[in-house]
Amino acid sequence: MKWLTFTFLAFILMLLLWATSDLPSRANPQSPANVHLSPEFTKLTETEIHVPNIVSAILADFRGYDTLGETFVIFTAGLAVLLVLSSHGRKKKDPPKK
Amino acid sequence: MNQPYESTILKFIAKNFLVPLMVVFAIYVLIHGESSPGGGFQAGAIFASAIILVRLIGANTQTQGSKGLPMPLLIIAASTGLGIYVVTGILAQLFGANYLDYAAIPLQWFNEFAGENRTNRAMGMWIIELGVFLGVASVLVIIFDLLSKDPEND
Amino acid sequence: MIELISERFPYWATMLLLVIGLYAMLGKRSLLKKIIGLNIFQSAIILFFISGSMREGGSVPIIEGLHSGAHPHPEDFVNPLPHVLMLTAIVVGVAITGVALSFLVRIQREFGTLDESILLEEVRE
Repeated sequence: MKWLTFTFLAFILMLLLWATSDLPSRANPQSPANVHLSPEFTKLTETEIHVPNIVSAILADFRGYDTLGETFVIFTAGLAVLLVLSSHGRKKKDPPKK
Repeated sequence: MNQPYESTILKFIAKNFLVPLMVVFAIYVLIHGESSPGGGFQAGAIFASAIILVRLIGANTQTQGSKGLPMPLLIIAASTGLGIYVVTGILAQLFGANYLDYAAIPLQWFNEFAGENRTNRAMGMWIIELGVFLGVASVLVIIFDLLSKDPEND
Repeated sequence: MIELISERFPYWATMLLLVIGLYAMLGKRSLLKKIIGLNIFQSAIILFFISGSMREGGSVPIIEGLHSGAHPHPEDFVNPLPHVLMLTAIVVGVAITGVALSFLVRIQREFGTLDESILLEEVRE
């Protein structure tokens, strides 16, 4: 069973390393992630929002829905932990034998 | 609850120096979130670590009993944070814009009160980051409190 | 050769970290170690996004002197969008870890162990 896991992981690692050869080189200003959509954010931050921190501007204004959903996720996680671990209304069980 | 570790120097430094510093730094990161690195998420995490540090060194056992901040207060704080966010969005709708479009909310009176020159959008961003701060900080403390709770001493 | 390594090294390190996290999730029997593997996996993805946001000659995405009329050029800053995405991903990661740890506490209370194989046998009975 152990060798099967390691073979699978080596296969995955080879696949991923092969896939990195298709990625643009590091810090390339002309890579697709750098030329598409992010220059517009910088320009709109200057003209529309007028705050210095571009990351905050994107987080709270351009992607406000995303952050709203994020806050819901955090809140739901707190509720889930509360429901899983709160001991109200749960009968006492015997301690396990083992 | 287990007996806290009895090292007086560590306790003294953490209680009297580190915790106030972390609280002040969290508020600084929250307020300056638009003009320097920071924001609601980061400030909430720093503030929650300050409270968790108080829990870890057991400094609250002398002052407030073994409970510290009670759980209902934390749940109310988390709900308030989420509520601030949602209500800000609905407020923008009431002033005739889209949901979460802060430019429509009239907040210029606060600029005159504080003597600053900020846009409506910057003010709206600050308000929702306050909501995110409350939500993140209280939920992190809720998770820590429940995970460290001893079921026998309930 | 040196150029190739300096260009590709962040990606290789990320992929290695990803596989280490995957190994901890697949190969370890303790559920706690699986959660640690989940966190390593997530850190690898965060590092991948952050290294993808680099731009040659870019600095911190904060516009200096905006209120005194400076005009920013997008080429002067690193790509801010991946930073935003990863900022939210980190917080969601903390929430996921909290929920997973709470499940582990319940499992430990009910069964007295976190070993996967023992748990599977107990569930089958």
